[in-house]
Amino acid sequence: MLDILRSLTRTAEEKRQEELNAYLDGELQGRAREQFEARLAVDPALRAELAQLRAVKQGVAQLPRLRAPRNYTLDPAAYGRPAAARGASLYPALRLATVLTAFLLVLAFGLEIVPGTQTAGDTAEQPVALVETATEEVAVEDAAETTLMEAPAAPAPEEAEEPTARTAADEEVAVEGEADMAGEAEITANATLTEETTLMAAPELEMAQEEAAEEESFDATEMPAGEAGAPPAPEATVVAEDAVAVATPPLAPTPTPEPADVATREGVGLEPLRVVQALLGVAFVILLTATLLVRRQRI
Amino acid sequence: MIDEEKLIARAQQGDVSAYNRLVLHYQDIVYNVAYRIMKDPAAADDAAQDAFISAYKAINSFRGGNFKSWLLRIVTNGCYDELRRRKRRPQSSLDEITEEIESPGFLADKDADAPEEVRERVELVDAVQRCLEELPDDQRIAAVLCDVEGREYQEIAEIMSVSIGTVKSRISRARSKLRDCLQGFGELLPVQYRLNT
Repeated sequence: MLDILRSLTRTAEEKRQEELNAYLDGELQGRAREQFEARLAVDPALRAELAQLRAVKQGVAQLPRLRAPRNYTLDPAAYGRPAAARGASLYPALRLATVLTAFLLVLAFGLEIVPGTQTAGDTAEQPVALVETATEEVAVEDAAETTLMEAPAAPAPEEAEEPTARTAADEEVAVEGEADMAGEAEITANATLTEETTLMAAPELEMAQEEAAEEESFDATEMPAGEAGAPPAPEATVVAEDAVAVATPPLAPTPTPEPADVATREGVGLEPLRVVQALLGVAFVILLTATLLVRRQRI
Repeated sequence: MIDEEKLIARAQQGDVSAYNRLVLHYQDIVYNVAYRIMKDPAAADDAAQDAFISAYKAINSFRGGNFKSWLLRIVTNGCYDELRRRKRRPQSSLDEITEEIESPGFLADKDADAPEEVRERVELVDAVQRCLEELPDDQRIAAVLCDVEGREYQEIAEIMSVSIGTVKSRISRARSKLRDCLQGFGELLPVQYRLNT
């Protein structure tokens, strides 16, 4: 790798000098050597340069060989059995693991750039997405409200057509049942009520109907413009308003995402990537440290 | 001729006397390389001793190959470490300074009565030694291993823990600088070494 970089950055003169010295040292082989010798045969300046370098090489080679001033033998009493070389044998594996971890780490960070992967930058866009979602919710709630407001009108004709078929309690249950098609909070309660009503035995049902009738007449007395068939309307409206009220707060001027909602959304794509990046980062630091330590001990 | 492989195997089992036979066989070359790198006999002596101790402690990490190259790598690395330490904490040996002032090696007329040829040779050696000392450490080591010790590029690369390309580059630069330096000595050198002619 470094050789490639070096070959890209060195000048033509440097390349020529290296070739000249390699030839002088007998390190130029095969075709390269033949080509160089062909040039040497026709280039007197090159031959002169080669002669100068040969003189330098011979001059350095004439440096006197020194004798060691003393013996470097070890005292057998002071040195026991040499340690096993476990670290040195670990070095290639450690080096490979470090390189692989570094590659995976780069890959993990690179994933953030890939389109479609949720990242920290994407979270900034979430409020916009929430506004859109909230708008959809508003539309649903509006539709529910509309249905709810129309609900009282529907039972009335039915009631007129079947005056004896349904009691006031039944009507209330029916109206509430329809209204709560949109109000999720009420669904369970109403379903339970309907079930209870349905499962009641005939005598009990009659008793319940009587009680409901009594309650209805009592309510009717309190109503300002008492219309016996109308009571469900205001009550249903209140329920519907409640449902809207529940849905409205998050829609206020600037809808603020619920913390739990954001956490859930981030958790979908961001958190696992962050965890992987952190783990790879820690692993890389540990492996790099171990590799450098083993390398230092290794000879 | 020593049976190197057997001695190494015995040394790996803890046989210090077998290791000592290897030490005696290689101590001159190890000291020479240390001296050329350190440019100081005392520092070279310490470096050679440390290298043999380190080599024994780590001999089980030697997995075959050229034992001499392995030893030279140890002493070269040790010298590098020492040079780096010295650069961080520069210090001058008093003996070295005194010797330099009183009897500069290059100017001393050690062979005044010797024949002309011998005198020229001594002057050449002094000039080469001085020029060699002016080289950067990495280039000097490459030049010494190649031209003094006669090592091949591949072996030098292993000893210095660098690529062959780097070895080529260091040797080439070292020779160019040596050539330029020796040209400065002109008439002091034998005719064949007067490089500007």
